[in-house]
Amino acid sequence: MERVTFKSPAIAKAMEKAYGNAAKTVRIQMRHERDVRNYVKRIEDGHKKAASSHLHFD
Amino acid sequence: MGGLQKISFWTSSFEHPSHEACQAKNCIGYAILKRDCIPSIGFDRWHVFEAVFRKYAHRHNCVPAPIVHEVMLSGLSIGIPGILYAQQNELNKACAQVALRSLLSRLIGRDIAYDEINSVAQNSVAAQFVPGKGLDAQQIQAVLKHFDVAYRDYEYTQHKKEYRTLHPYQKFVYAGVESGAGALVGFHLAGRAVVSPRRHIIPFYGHTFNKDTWAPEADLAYFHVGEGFGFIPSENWTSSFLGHDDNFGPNFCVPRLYIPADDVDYVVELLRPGIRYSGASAEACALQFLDSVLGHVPSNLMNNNVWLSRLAHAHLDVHEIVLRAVAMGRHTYIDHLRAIRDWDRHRESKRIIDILEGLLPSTLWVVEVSIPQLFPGNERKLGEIVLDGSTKLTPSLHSRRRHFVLARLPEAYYFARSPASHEEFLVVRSRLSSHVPVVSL
Repeated sequence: MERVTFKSPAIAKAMEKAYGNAAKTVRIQMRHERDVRNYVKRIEDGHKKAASSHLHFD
Repeated sequence: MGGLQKISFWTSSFEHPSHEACQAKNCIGYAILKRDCIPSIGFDRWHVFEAVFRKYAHRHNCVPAPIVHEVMLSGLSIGIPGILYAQQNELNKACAQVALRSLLSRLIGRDIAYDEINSVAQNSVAAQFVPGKGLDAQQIQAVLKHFDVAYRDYEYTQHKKEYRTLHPYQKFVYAGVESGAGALVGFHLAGRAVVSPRRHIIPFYGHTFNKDTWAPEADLAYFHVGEGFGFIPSENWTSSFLGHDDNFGPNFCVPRLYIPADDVDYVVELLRPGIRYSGASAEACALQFLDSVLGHVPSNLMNNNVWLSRLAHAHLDVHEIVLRAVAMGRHTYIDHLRAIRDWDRHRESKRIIDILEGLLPSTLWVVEVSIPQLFPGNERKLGEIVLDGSTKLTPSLHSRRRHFVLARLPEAYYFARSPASHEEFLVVRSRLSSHVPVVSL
């Protein structure tokens, strides 16, 4: 599986080093998880399924 | 017995190339006409082998990431801005091959020979291939892969009818066009003149931008990602897509809603180099992050910044957020951050930009956030959600979190703190406290 390098924490670390106490931490809970997961899944599944398409264009 | 003619079109006439009128700015375009002559089968026909014409110079017409074609005319090298157009000849190319040549020649930076397209298409099928009879979807996919062009495609006949509403083809087209890559739309032909079922495919590369469009002000424009969860897509202010139809000519404005959803069977969103997933997915992910962040903005920021409170009201109370997804390299985003000023002429902190420049992923989906009162009339935004565009996105929350780079809203940036803690975000103050111009590629 392709590995994703998570860039945001590295940026956060550099920002924290630069700004010290001026940078604050907040806790944020992600909402609408099922809706977004299903939406992205339909797009990716659709792309995979299109690989077996038999449509012809002339 | 064949023939080849190159014709150029100018705004004023001249007798000799040394005349002052013979300059690129006076050249409307050119066309190369080719005569295919095969006496044994009685075939003798001229067609447009290639042409590049400046698009209609209307202030509403927009072609992101435009390119200039260099062509020799009257012994001079003339640069003409435009997208290459070509016509099918039913011998070695049909609509699919010419559509691919139009878009790929722009995306990969060089022209493509039909031999190369047809060779790839031939090798991708077991059955006999007749180039003049067009390509099927799998051959189109093989050609895109051959030229290392990533894409997202959707065949609507493989899914339930409701998918045409859940994932309208216009969304894929707009994402491809707005990012400067383009899109292909395949539809079945209808009408009295159509004798037997046929499908046609055409390329799109631009769009209009109509500030006074009515639809977004009405509820009709709201796009649902889930029940009660959605946004107003910026393509609502696009009345037409710009594209070629090899049957009729180049640079047509095709109304965004003209081809009915039920007639479109296949759509391909081309992705910019280095981008690995669809702009439609980027929008949905960005909306989730925006929704989550807006609910947790520090109260001292929310209470003291009128634009932040307007943004929160627009999304959380009246559901009128405008999103615009644009794919770009990190340097384009950095240049944008350096250039923009908010309404009070504040610029972003150089220190923040320098840190970002060293650590951003190579390619990004920048999903701009605005409200209807700002976006169409002023072409301005209140912030953006930036996602890593350089690796594949899967539906899992884990993948979406790892693609999150930052959220920039008035007066603050939000960064995910660590892979281990899914809920902790670092907030850093931004000097941009109000609206700024949107990105222009």
